[in-house]
Amino acid sequence: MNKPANPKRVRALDVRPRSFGYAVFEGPTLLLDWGVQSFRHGRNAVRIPLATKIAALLEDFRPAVVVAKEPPSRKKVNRARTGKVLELVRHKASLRGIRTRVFKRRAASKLFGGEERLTKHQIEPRPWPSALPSFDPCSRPSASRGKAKIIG
Amino acid sequence: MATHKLENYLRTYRKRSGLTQREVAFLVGCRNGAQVSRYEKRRRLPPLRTALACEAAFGVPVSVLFAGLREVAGQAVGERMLALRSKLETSTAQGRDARIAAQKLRWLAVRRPLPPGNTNTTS
Repeated sequence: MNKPANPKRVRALDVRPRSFGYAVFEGPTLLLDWGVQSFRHGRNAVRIPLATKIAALLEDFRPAVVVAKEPPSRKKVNRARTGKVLELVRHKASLRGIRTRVFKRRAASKLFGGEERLTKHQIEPRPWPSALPSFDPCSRPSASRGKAKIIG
Repeated sequence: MATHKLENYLRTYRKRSGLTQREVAFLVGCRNGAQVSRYEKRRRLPPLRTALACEAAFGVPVSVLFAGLREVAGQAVGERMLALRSKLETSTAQGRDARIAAQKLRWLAVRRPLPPGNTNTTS
């Protein structure tokens, strides 16, 4: 009796300085879950700590791999914050034996628009890329400087 | 590395429908939205009546909604079928009992465990 092959589950993260968006895919076409989680500080601080939220997200869907975009390079403070969150995600994922891959932001937009610089609104009506290229493990940005390290 | 199916896909179908947990609870006859949350997070297993109500509400077969459970149950049944077959083959029944055992063996040969339901959840 042949055992049917189950497609991999992938959790994609878009980490921002005070929140992150996520989507969970099973195989290339099936979107299982999506949403936004906030981890504000100060007066409007969220009650559930970020680490707990990340752990819950990893436990809920047990993905095979977590992919994320590298932090933006524009503002140093944002880059540092985002880098810290990515580091936490990587740590939590490694505890559960889940791989983490961080891709360059340009690589993600290039997948949809090629060399064109497209916004999400321009990308939306376009057909989904038939074959997602296999990116090499990309550089994990250092929080303090723009240097890149290999993760994996 | 292939991942196992999730125990259930209730959250996926609920989010696609745009319904809240409270609204799904109302549809399937649960106490409140928290109970639906427990089912979605696999902290509780819904009773058969609720599972069938979910099928009716989302229009998706139970075997697809609870694909992971279906997979595990299917594998367990398959293993038990093999065990039962070997038990029947080694039995030393005579006469009528032997005929009945042969009939069961024929049935087992034809009746393979159901493949995990059509878990194509893209519908």
